[in-house]
Amino acid sequence: MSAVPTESEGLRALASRLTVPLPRKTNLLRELRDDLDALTGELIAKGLDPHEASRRATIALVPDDITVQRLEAMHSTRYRRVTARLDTVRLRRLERGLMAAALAVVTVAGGLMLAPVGVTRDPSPFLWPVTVLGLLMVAACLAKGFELWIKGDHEKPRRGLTAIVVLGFSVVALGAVGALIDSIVLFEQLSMGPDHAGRLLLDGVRREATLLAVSLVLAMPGAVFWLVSHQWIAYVEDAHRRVFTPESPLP
Amino acid sequence: MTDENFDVQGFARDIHVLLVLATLRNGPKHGYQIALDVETDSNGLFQFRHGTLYPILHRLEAEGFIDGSWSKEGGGRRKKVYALTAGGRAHLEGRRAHVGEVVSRLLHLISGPGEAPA
Repeated sequence: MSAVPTESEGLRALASRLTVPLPRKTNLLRELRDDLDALTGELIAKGLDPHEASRRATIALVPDDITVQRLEAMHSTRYRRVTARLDTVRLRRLERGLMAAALAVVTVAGGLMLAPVGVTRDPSPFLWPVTVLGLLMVAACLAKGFELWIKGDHEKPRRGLTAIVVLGFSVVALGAVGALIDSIVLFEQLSMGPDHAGRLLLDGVRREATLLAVSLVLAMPGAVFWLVSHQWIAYVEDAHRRVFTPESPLP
Repeated sequence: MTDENFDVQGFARDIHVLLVLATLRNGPKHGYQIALDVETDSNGLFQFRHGTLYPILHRLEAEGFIDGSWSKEGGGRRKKVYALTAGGRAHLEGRRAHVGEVVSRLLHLISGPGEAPA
């Protein structure tokens, strides 16, 4: 019995060895699969039995370890090529630094946009926890986006998406609960019949509206990011799966 | 060509590149067809084994010497087809003289002194 794998075994083994981004891996495997099918067919037409034809096509076309290394160097992301010489610890520090800097830029930009509107003037006590949760969600989105589209690490593409959903939901939920509690406190104050009831009511409504608006504005990019990344992952995973189902047309 | 800039390993790599480009001179082909034609046209002398063809194809595509495109086949399936570009054709013509000179010098060397190069 021959130790050389047949076509589908060769494809699966190659898929597990290649660590390039999933869309590039899919294209490589798709090209190889079509060539394997065609060469096998041609060898069968020349009189070889199907198993032997598949075996020979695999020897000719499925890359060995050295060729896989060449393909990886060629098809890895620009980020991976640039950082290839850095050791893991230094690279991790650099990535964390980049994430922190990106989050700081987003925070400052958001602060500069919101400050003139008077969001932080006499705020609800819930505004700061909502903001912190929102920033955590933005950080999670930045980290995931970096992993998916800059680093090209698609080993576990869905990892972290649930955390984004939970954080986004928490931001909105805390904003809504905060507005509700603020309203109860406001109505209690109003029920005492203070002299400045009108002013108290206006300030209270503004505070609660601000809290709700900030929580929605913070949650919105998380929802959009989740939707886009979820759809993108579903698309590339589907295309990748189709490589191993010979009868299905590829997108 | 001077002795300082001649790289034997580079020349061997160059041969594979030229084989691919020369095969595509006759028209666009799929990866496996390129491998098959190189083997057939050289009576089995040159072979691409263990997928060594793909890094060459992808590098040539990145350098603009060949153009890879997905063509629709029967049953909704697609195949990647490579075609020689004008740049690839020029590269092939340019390297032909270089290969000729290397082969000529090699023949002169192994034929021994007294014999003129071919």
